[in-house]
Amino acid sequence: MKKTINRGKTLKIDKSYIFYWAIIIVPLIQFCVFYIGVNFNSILMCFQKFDPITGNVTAYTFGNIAKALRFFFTNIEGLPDRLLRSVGMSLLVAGVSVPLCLLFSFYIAKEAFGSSVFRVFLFLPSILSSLVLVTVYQFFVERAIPDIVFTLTKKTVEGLMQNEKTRYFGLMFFNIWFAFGGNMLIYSNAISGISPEIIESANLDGATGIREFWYISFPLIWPTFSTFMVVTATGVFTNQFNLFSFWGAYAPDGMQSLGYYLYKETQLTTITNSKDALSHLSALGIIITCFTLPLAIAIRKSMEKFGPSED
Amino acid sequence: MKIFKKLITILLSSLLLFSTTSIVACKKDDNREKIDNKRTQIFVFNYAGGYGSEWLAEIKKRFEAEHAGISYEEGRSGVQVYVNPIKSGFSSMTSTILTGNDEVFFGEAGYYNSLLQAGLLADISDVVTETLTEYGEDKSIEDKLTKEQKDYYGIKGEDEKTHYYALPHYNSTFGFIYNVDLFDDIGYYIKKGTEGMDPVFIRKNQGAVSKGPDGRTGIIDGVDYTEDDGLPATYDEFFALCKQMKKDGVIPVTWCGNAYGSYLNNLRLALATQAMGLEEMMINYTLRGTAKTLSTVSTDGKLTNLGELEILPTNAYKLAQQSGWYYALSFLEKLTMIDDNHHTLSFNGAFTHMDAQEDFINAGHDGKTQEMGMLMDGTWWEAEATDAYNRMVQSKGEDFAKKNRNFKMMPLPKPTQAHVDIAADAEGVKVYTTYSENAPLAFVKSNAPEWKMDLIKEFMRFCHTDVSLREYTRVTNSLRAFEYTLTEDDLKEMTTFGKSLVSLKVKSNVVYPYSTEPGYTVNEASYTSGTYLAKSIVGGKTYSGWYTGFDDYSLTPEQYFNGLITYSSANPIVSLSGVVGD
Repeated sequence: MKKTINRGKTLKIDKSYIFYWAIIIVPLIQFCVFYIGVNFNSILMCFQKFDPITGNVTAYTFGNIAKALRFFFTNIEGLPDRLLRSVGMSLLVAGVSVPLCLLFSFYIAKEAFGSSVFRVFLFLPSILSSLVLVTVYQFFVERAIPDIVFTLTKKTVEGLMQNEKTRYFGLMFFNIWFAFGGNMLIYSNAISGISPEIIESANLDGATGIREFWYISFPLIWPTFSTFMVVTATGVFTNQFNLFSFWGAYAPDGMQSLGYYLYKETQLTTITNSKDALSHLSALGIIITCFTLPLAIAIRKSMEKFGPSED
Repeated sequence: MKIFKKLITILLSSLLLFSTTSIVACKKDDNREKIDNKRTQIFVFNYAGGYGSEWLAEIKKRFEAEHAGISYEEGRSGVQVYVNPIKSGFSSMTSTILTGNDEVFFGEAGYYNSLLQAGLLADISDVVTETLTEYGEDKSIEDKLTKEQKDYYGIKGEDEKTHYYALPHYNSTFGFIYNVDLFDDIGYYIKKGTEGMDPVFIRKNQGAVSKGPDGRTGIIDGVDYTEDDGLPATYDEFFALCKQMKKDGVIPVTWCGNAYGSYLNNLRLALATQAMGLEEMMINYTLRGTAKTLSTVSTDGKLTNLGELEILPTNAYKLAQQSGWYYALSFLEKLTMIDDNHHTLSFNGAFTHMDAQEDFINAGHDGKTQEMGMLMDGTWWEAEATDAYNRMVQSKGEDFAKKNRNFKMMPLPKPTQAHVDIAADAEGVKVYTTYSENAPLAFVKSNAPEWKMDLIKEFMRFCHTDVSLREYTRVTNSLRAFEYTLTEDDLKEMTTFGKSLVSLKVKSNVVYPYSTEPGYTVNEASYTSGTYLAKSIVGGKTYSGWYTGFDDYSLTPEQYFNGLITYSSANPIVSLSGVVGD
């Protein structure tokens, strides 16, 4: 952008400069307030001690950190279990959704038969609100499926989420489907952005179909893929896997992730404006960051080290 | 092909747009009252769920009529009470209360101490303490509060005087609503002389029936104790009733599967309250008193009382051993783990509270819904089911209108006959103890315009006259959380369900689960979340809810109860040092 200054009587400013700032200013302010500001306040809160009656800050201590560490190491709230469960659920969701997402993105980018239908159906989770999707999904698996089974077999079965044997599967299936949306949009656009000459050349060399995907498309979108993997890693311990949407504050114990616990407790303390409890949760968040940060760095380094080279 | 693709795109976009608008359930703005610029407005927020806004419409009419022609600001004459019905609890509105138009608030999820601390509440001490002489009453609003309510809502100021910043709103409780017509037709009343684990069930016209959970019968000192005659008095009798219903092809109990966690937790609190009584239950909130029911339980369910203990904030965690918590767990275990005792959809996430209510009122009448004996819900259910009643009237006629149906609130059974006898033999009218739900609150916001504060306060007083309180009850068929008497004419206008609530309230001590004890106010979140004393440690593992403990991990109520103290002592709500906020 060029800022043109006319040293005569009027100051001329390049219109594209104004346009650029008009577009960027709101997201920039939002980023400053809701990312930098909020995270800075969270870090500050974990060291603050509040007067429980007035709500004023009375001291800065490590007491909240000590309390949060006690929660982790004495298993009072079952946090280690939830942490491990979060890892397991994330691995399952990522392990199933990422390969499928890449394959479907490739299929859609190739505009193969039925790709438009797949595009609509798989993009749906990112178009509709998650609460709407949960409601529709819940009605389908809890009422429609038992009704269909009864109509076909005259057997009464419980809904997928009601039955403790199928509950986990029902939740994970939803989360895998939910994970498609935005990821597929990025992957398919990244694959579509590969130079047609490279594809043509690869085709001439006999690399078609899955071979084209594995040797050409996937390596070329590796930077996009590795960015997504790092971002996914940062969300492992804060992902509540839509548990709150399905069960509110009463999700079954054996399903609760660490992210769900944090979300539920934050809701509770926000309801009663309890700054003391919020500062404890901030400290928990800091401890979780100590797990997340090395994980994200490790994944990034692995991606760089084991990713495809030009050779 | 291109045209086809365009058509598909347009069709899908339209479908998406249409589906989005259909999900947004807003009423047409045409039905909202317009602001009258010739009158002075009082803006009133009312929680739009549960009991609705019809009661406020009646008060509005009378208040406006009384103030017609009086000028409160230049160029305007008269008052317009502008009601803003929104379905939002106060807890999610704290950031908008001061900035919005609304000046007077009637709603729920209002945590008094939190709202006060946030500076949202105006001082309405004069509203509450001055006698309502201008309305022909010789009492003040304060005189209509119970001692526990005065202790909670009245806050000692720096001037050593008691200040009020809010008032309670509705009185609600949780439990079982039973179908009186079904009970009468089939005969689900316990025959006198067969009380206990294996009762015989009859119709009331077939012979004498048992005394019911109040342990009394007949009219004693002008109070009618026959209302609950024949109903299950103890847990054993309740489950015997369920067994009989199941045998007869009737679904014993139904409830909202979509929110079973919170509904069953509400029941847990209500059962524990009925089992423990007012004094014992209130210690959980005042954190001071003599606990008399602390117990351990053996694997075969035998309770051993640990004797009396003086409770202070420093040892309040020991209240996890109150026997009422065990009794509630044992009841819930039978209710939820034995499939025959409840509807198949009672844990189905797509079975909403309105589905449960609609099924309950349609049961046996629509040709497809199986007969149902009881609905587990709150006292607001009948107002919530208004649309369901209206649909039923449209399809089946006026006989099925709300006012012509016979449903009543069943007094909760007590754990054992000994509990029934203790209440029956005690002095006075109060034979039950109920638990007040939802933290309902009424207040004026702190930054309401100063120039019309007198008018706003007058409106608050007007809403709390006996006439207005009785009007609320007639319209909603439920009660406000104040002491007031209904006339025979009031009762005539009410539904059978509403009348049963009046009868229940007369005979009940009410636990309002709040206090001004700092250990409570600081940790209000832990008490008011509904998950109070819900967590347990069994075998070194923490369980966040009894239901998953029973269902997923096959724990027994005895294990879960004995684990409550393990969790509570390791993670006391109030710090062991007694230092608030430590």
